[in-house]
Amino acid sequence: MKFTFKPSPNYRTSQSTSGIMRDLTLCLLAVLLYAIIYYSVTYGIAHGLRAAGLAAVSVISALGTDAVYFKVMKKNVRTGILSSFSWVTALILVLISRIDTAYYAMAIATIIAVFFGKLVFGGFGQNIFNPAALGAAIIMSNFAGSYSADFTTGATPTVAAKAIGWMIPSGEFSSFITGYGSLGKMFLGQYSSTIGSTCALLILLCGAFLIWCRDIDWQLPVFYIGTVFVEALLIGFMHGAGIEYALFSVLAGGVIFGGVFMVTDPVTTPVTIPGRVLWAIGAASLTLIIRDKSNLSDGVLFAILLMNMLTPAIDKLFDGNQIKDAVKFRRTVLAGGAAFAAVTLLVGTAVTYKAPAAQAPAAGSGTASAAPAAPTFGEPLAMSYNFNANKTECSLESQEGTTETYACTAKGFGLVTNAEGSYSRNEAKVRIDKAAHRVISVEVTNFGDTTGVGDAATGEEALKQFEGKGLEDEVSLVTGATFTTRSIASMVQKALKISDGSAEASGSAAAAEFGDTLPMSYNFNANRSECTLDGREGDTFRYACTAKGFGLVTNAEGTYSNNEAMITVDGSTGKVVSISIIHFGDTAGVGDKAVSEEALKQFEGKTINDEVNLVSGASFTTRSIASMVQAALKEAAAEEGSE
Amino acid sequence: MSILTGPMRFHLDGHKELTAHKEVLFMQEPDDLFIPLVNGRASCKPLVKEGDEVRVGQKIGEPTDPFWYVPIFSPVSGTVVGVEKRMTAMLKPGEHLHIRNDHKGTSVQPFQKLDYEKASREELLEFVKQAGMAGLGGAGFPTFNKYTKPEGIDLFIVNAVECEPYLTADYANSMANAKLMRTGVLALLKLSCAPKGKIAVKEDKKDLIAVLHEQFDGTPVEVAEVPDIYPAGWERTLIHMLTGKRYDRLPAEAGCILNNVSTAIALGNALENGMPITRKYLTVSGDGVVNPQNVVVPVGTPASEVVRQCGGYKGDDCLLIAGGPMMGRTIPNDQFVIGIANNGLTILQHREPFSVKCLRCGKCTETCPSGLVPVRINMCEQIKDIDSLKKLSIMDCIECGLCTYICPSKLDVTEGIRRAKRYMALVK
Repeated sequence: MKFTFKPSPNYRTSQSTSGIMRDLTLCLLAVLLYAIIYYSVTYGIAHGLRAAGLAAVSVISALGTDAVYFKVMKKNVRTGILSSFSWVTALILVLISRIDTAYYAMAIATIIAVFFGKLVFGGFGQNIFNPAALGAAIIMSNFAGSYSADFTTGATPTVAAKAIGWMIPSGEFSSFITGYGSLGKMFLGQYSSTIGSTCALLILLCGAFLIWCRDIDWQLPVFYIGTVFVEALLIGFMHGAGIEYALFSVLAGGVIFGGVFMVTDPVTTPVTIPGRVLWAIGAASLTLIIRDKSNLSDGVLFAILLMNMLTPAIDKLFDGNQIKDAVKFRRTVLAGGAAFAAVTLLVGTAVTYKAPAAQAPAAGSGTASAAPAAPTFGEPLAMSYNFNANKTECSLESQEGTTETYACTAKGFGLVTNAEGSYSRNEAKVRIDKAAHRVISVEVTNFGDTTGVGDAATGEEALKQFEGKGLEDEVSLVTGATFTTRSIASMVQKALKISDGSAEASGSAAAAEFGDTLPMSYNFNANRSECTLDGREGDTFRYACTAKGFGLVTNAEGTYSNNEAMITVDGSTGKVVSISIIHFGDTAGVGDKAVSEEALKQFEGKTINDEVNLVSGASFTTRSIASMVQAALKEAAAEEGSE
Repeated sequence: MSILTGPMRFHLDGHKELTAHKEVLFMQEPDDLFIPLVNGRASCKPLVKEGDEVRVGQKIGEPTDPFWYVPIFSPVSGTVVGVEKRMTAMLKPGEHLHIRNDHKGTSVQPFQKLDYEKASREELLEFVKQAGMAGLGGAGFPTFNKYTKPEGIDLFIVNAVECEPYLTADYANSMANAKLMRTGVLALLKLSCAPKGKIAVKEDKKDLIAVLHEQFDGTPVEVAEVPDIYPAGWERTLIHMLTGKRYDRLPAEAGCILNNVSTAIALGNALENGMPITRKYLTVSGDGVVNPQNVVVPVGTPASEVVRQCGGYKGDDCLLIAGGPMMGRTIPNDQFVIGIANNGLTILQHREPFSVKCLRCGKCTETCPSGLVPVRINMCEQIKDIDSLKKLSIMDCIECGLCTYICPSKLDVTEGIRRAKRYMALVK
């Protein structure tokens, strides 16, 4: 008979941390399952599989990171994994990511979240930041370009709300909300957002279940979501918005998902109840401040990460005896909460409602016979947008005087799948005034997208917005039919480009991908470009130019790479006539994307006041060339002026 | 409880059904008894020497300290073998008077019976002192000390809550000795000078509540039902539940005096039968004993003998706990004896829980009846953060064990606070 000695007490509840994590996992899987079903039904099975695939990639990456770590640390791998609970991090990370996140980005973010977010701090329970939020922040800041164009969905409510200044006055609300059905539909999760944050009802049920099982405490979610609601309500009142704006603020974005699954992460939140209440109020306030005034459309993630940093301080603030120091603690919570709320409301006074850039055209067209629901116009769309994903093709069908008619085809909403042939196509006839570089009319001849959704962009009213537009103009995305709008716009763009000669009719595959714009008046001093007059015919000047290229990374003369070009400029109009590269000194295979025929063509016809586009992946070379063009234009202008 | 504090208590499974309604076993007296000469801080010098004959009820120990005054009486008749050092249930060595039982049961009345209604308060107080009455809830504090100067007391509380899991000894004792309980409670009420009394009992003990109503309806003592939570029987929690008051050091600050119901029954027995405390109601329970049941056992009986008469141990690795599993200590052998303040032996089969790191869930904070932040105390103790430990009011911890009980990561939270206490004692 052995009598073991153990310090009292020797009695324990049946609830275990593993059990809490099991309940949490079940809830997260339920939310994931909903997402898979929702995406499969709404966007096709490929979207659903994508959600499942991302979850698989993330969970496997997380478990793999754990396994390698515990192996290297010479610890029991099985016990290590079972007491690290990294799959929860992985599932949350997937559910707060967009469905078009690249697989590799998801894998890298998960590994960073688990390793740098958790294991290096000493593993489960020791980390400062919510690891899933950290992973999502990594994707947002480092892999923003990795989003797969084939899996995009409609604009999310937060992005749309951000575009109008995160303020929706009562009068505008009903037209705004139609893009997502209604508040009720948002509550039921029938709109696009991050993978897991759509179905508020399901998430709240999960939250209730977890509170019922005593897996999470109720103060954090209730105070977090409640504070977002109340502060949004007050900010709304300042700007003529009603209670529906506050409800929208809660339903849109990650507030409910974060409120149930992220702010309740005990590891990264304070341990006392007064501390948690203050933390939740702070996180809610920061969520609104970030939404209202930063360049992010939603603030949940960064609010959580910022408050994570305050957790140790808040813990210290409430060190003491909760009975003896009750009055002091209550005052601290009230003062802290009031401070957070005051700052939020102060920031809230600066919120302004920005009416959508392009208002709906005059609704006077009585002939809108077959036109479906009147379109609502959302975010602006520049006609110079990069529509490569649409794989647009146009061919000249007929020409009468200066009026050209192009028959065009472009991928539509169905660009969900890669396999050629299985995506939907839209076809249109675009008539262009060749002399004025303006659209005369657009007529959709074949509509391949989802009826009842995309066709909002094919109505007479929606097509009318293209009329009279040139490449430098912009139109508006039709809310709820952004894909179809883009598809049509891509055909208009192509027709305009063929018409003015900057693109070739059908066939020629795009080699260069254009990114951010670059004004020709940019300060290119660093390039030290120089031009010398090489020849002149009347008003046409030919310059031999040289400029530093990519190698301007080093100061020592001689070590940088040089590019050289011949540039012909029309001195009377101040426009570039042609450009050819004589010497390319930058990295072959990288920078040379910017010297392709297509890339160079964008300079033709440009003046010092125009802008071009940086070639993605070759922005240094683009700048180098642009700097030479600028120098040539300036030389020509000086020459012209001296005469 | 408010929005900013947790419930500061928790309902836990008491496993009381194991023993509550089983017949009480009157144990066969063992051949050898070892009467502790120390009860808590009250120590006695023996009045008998080796070879002396003693009888049941005979006073055999005279206290050395007039404040910690708890005289000792012989539970059996027989011969004194001598004074021996043995380990006590407090895990410290202590002197015990070894008596060899002659199983004749010849007795002597050590003091006269007293009619508490007719006696003056001073006579009654002296009687309580001489009869060796002590807090039988576990503390062993001399009862008369509580009543020497009762000033501003407006509520006398009898604690029949018995919130420690597994233990049902007070319950069995109360059910069996309702009449003595009535006498003892009313005598203590008189001593307290309080206008009224409350006898606190858990709301789920319906049969005991009926008995209490039968005994106390018509007296100034009211039956107060309290919820089935832990630690409902702790003075501060109980007084807060009954009066809404908190206090700093002693219950008297909240106008209250408390005594355990077993103390009241022992006093009733002394008043009506003229007999001191020689027997104890003891719960023997848990999954490590063959026949869990309540037993009546002579003071000084070794634990091994008690367990033997309850059918012996189950399993081969046990936690033998003097008291209940929450606050009782595990004793690494079964040679210690049952003293007057023992009310249970909990024997649990030992299973090591799967423990993971603290997830900072804060459940210990929400349930701590003293309003502490055990998780912070543990973290600060690990890094020896003295400044924070000073603010965390660690000396308010009564080691009730709820933080370890509730911990989902299965950590020894209470033990961490004990370490912090020891560390801070050294720092000061």
